[in-house]
Amino acid sequence: MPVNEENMAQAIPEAVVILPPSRLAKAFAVGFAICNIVLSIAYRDLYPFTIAPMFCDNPRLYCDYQVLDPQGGQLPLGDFQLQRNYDGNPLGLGAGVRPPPSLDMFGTVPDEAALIAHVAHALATRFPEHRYVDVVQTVIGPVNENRVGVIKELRVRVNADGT
Amino acid sequence: MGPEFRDEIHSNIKPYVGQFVLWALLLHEMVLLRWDLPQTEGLRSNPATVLSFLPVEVLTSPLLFQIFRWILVVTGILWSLQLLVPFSSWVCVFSYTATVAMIFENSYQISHTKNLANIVLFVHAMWYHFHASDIRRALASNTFWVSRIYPGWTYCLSLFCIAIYHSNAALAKILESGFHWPNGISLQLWIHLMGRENSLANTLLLSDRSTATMIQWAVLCVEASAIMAVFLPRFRVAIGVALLVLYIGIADSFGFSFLLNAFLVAAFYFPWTRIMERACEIAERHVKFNLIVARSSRLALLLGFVLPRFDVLRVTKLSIEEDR
Repeated sequence: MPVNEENMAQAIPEAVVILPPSRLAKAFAVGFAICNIVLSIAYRDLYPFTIAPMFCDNPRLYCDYQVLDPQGGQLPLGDFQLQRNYDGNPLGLGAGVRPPPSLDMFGTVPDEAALIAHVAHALATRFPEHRYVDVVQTVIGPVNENRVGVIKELRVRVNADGT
Repeated sequence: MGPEFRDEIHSNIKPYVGQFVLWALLLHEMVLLRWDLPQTEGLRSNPATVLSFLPVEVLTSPLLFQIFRWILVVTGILWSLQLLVPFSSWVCVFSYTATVAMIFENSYQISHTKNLANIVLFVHAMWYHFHASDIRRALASNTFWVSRIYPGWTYCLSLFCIAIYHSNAALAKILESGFHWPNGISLQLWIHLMGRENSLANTLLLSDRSTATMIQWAVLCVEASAIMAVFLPRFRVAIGVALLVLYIGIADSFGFSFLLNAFLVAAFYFPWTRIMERACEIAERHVKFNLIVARSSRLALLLGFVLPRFDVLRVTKLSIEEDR
């Protein structure tokens, strides 16, 4: 049979016209929009609703740490609870597991006494084989009107007895 | 609510934007196939997701995670092919939410790269739910791509959710840090800590605080203005461009990829429907493929299924020849 206009499957059918949204559809759409606003502001982060809090903080300085054993080798910061948990988002927000404890809080600088007490405790409980460790705390903040950089470096030797 | 926005809600359009976005998101969901459930130990922090009310045993079950992941793939394929809708749409959205939520429930660090996609998928499941019979009718009569079958409310609700997400980011900054947020120091510290080393922009921002401050003000203004684009369509393209520049800047400075979010901004802030309508007019005039197949052949069956769904430009003419 030859091809002709009648047997063409695509022979310009009528476009489908859809009805205006039903009351249920309207209620559903409005309800979802309200949920989106209310839940994101009330909980700040309740997946999938979020206030998108990345970089909402306002840090003026932060710390870098190094822990060195008596031979000068670097020890894992996590073992001394000095690791950085911060990734730009408020700590733990929107995550089901709390971050591991750490003295490092982005935007704050613990004083020397707090740092020594914290490291001494970790040293005594986790590294009894080391008599001491050297801790280097580097503080980064504004160095002048234009730049940020190292504004302070503290190097302390911490003995297991906390001295 | 402006009159232009009210008109948009009530005027239905051809389904180019909706269906392309849907395909792109469903294709992207396959990325989740590569993910594993994190095995993070630590105290629980509640609530983190809409599934946080479930028992911990459920939220941490690797078996359930695998099940949701595979349901997501199967229903994603079904929905892409517009089969078993709206059942496949809802199961797909639910399994997407469950898969990502389980990852978040078992992590202590998260990124906001899937939230918008999840919300937009939900809105499109609503479209397939409330217009399932219209969509089936349009596919059966091969008029899906010429029918004004994409409701204005679906477009506007998706746009609203995308806009709220970005304006919320500005709100979060004001609520947390006040109007002192754009001070240049914080941006310089973030770049110092996690910025890309080979970025020219970073070199400039680290050397001049005034520029850093200016960029932070610009970020705040662009994010805050995202919601304006919903109610003032004439500014939509400009705000969309500004948001895309913001995403490019984030990728250049930090290497963070918010590809899905940027894609959704591009899809809903730019007038793709008009562009596609024009492309279809041109294609219809200049390109035509005439396929002649026998009525009882498998190819006829296959093309009868494929063309109504994927011949977006409607350039293929299928002619059925009676069997000899």
